[in-house]
Amino acid sequence: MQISEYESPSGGVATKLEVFGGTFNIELCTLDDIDPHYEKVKHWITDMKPSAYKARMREAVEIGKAFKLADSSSFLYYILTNPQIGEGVAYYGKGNPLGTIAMIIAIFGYLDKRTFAIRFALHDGKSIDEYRSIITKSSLSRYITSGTHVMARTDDLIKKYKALVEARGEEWA
Amino acid sequence: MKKQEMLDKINAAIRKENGVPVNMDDKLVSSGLDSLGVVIILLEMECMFPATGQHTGYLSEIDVPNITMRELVGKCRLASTSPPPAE
Repeated sequence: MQISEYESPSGGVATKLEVFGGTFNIELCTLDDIDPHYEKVKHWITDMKPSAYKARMREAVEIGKAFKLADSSSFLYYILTNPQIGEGVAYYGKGNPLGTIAMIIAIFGYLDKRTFAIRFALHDGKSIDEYRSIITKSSLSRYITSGTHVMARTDDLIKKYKALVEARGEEWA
Repeated sequence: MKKQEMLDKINAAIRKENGVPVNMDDKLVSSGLDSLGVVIILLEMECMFPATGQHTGYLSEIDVPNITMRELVGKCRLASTSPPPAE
């Protein structure tokens, strides 16, 4: 595995991650990304006005907690509810799971090591099944019984992905 | 390794990803894993059942929505037990 930085065409520093036999470019989202990214997730957001949802996306962009693969096949926007705990705003990666894993490695393994957990309150149109592999077992059980939010422990995800990278004979950068 | 033992190892990995264990005749997608979970399981399987030379990357082009566990275990078995190509 190799990680490096480069100047993003949309401004700012972007991250290039080579892992699992592929190369993935991770960039910060800009305000221009909000509308096209919203279009990709809007069919799940049946319980919130578009303006309110986009305002939260904008907040994530402004605090530098909105990331995407360069081709926008995956993105994650979150805001902070506490210095180390995030609240998921927009998460998408269905079409590029390997890229999504690479994006999570870049964000929580290198760019934001401070945030160790992210809470997701599922919108009405979202299924718990789309979060199974990133959330904790306890929050999955709690969600099934009470329908509350789910929690992803990003430090545990990084440990899991590190073990997977190393098991494949690659060195964790 | 017997096929059932291989399935048990795969099911242990599926449980770790918060999926539901499956039987031989179930499809992989019956495990309820999300797309990230499926990728992780396939990457783990390539580590659990390492392939000999000509089968490297044997799980990279499978038909994920339709493949059954029996087919998947068969692929792992073939890839990990075939003799390496002659020099």
